[in-house]
Amino acid sequence: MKGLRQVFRELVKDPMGRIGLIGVLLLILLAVFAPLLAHYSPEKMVSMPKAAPNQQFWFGTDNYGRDIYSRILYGARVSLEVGLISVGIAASIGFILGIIAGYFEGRIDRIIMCIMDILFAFPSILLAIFITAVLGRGIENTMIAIGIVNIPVFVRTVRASVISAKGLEYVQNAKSIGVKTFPLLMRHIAPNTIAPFTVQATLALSSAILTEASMSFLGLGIQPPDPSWGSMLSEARAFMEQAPWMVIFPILFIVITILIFNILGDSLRDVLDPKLKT
Amino acid sequence: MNHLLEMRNLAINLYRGKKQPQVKLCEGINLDIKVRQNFGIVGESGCGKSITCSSIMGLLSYPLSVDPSTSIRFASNDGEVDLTRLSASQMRRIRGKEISMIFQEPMTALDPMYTIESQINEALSFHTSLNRQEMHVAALAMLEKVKIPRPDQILSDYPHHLSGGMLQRVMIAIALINNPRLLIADEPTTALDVTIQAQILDLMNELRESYNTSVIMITHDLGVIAETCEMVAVFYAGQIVEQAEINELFHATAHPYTKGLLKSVTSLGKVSEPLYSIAGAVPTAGAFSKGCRFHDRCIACTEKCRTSMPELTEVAPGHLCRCWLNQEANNA
Repeated sequence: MKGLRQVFRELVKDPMGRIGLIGVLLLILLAVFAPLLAHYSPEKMVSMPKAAPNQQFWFGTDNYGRDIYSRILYGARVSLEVGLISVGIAASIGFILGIIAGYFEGRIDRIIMCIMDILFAFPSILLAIFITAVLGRGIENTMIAIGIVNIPVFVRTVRASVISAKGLEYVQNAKSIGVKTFPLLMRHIAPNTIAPFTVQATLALSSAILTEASMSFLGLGIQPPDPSWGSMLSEARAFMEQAPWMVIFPILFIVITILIFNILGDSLRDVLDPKLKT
Repeated sequence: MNHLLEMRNLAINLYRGKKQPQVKLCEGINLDIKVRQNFGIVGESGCGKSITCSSIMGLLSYPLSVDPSTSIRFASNDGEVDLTRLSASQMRRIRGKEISMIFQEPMTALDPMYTIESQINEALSFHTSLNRQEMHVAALAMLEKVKIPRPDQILSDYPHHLSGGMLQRVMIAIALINNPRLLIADEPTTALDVTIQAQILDLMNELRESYNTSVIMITHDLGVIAETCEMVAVFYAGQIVEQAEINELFHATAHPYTKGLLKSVTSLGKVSEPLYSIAGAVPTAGAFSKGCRFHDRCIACTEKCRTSMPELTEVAPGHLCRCWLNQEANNA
């Protein structure tokens, strides 16, 4: 098992890892300091509608005359917040269920995995839409919906590593000296799940951000006038020909965000799981 | 009960789903372990040695399970108990405290995440109420007993800092630290080189004397058995085929399988001869024939061997053998 510092060092050594790390860091900075960096309030109409990008409005303005640059920055906040919290929900529930399913096997395992397979069978957007339809719209419910959608991948990842860890000799040995089930799980089995778990979490983050954008695009996620890349796209759709910048910039940011999270995830996997490297 | 452990009619089932019948991996195994006895179990890979011992420890997990007809009576500190009927928490109190186990691969039997000290403490903290300082003293003393140099330094090392022989000593220290009544050693020397092997075996013999511990030694190395054990059971395809005192087994070998095993031991004297091996392989569990399980590899196989299974019978006082040849010889 590598220490945090060593993982970080190896990540920086890998050029792709460096790009991912710097990209994610920049994105976080943009989101955190959005109020300082933004030129205007994201909801205030500050100019003529659909002004082309210029010195005052870097990314132009939208059909209500709001500054797109400011809205993008605040939208990054929403994206990251939804991403982190929904992945947090998915990861914690997935971790617990995965440990239970993997360790106890038999009937509990079959029941949990059956439910997970059912969840997995739905396209994630469709399932998220269904859950928001039940819970109602709004940012919290969007997070919960995306969280639930992402549970199965975590359960599978954790379960698989628990099953392989369970057969390890030192786990048997710990059992043979009378270690209780809970300490056994936490001390000896859980550390084996960290590497695949971290990789999965990074990759899930990008898919959560994408799901949020898609849901907002469909009008089910973040509700106007709150800025969200997805809903900005949705509003821009009607004006694509007259004001292409309304479409280009949100899309650019969605693509870049997903890309850097995936790059980070991939290179994190290379660092944490050297067996996969060829 | 005049034995430390009495195993009666051990059968281990392999569950293969609802529609398939269970397969018995082991059956009809009876073992009696006396106090302070060194009991050897020999046999090829896959003949049920390890799962027999796991069943004593209660370490079998799905899809393996001990058959309900089995009884494993154990003279614990709180009186006689049946290990197969204990609850999970009662069993945990016995594991590591009264019965401990040493595993085959010392390199993988310790968790790479924790220091040697914290792994020794793990064994202590579950069974005693010592505080940190007292545990440290106990751990230090135990490492000295297993003859580890610089014990105070080793305590703060991680498993990957130590060699295989050292790790096996640590394993022995962990297994013996609560002064158990029974120690199960599952091929403790297989992964070590020969000189270390001898040291570890000596150490185990020494500690057994001073701790009054009985040992079950699982191995496929007859040399190890000859050096350490008083009583030996030879396993074949999930059954005991021969059981005798060590001298009796080596000098009045009764079962053709044991004879084959003894013949396949190499010695330096006869280099020119090709190595002897028993032809064929152990039959798969679930595909056993009605007759003797060894018949298709046996050099003295008769018609009777193919059709009916011989019982484990006494061929000499204290010498049990599962073979038609000996039974006929006795009857005649």
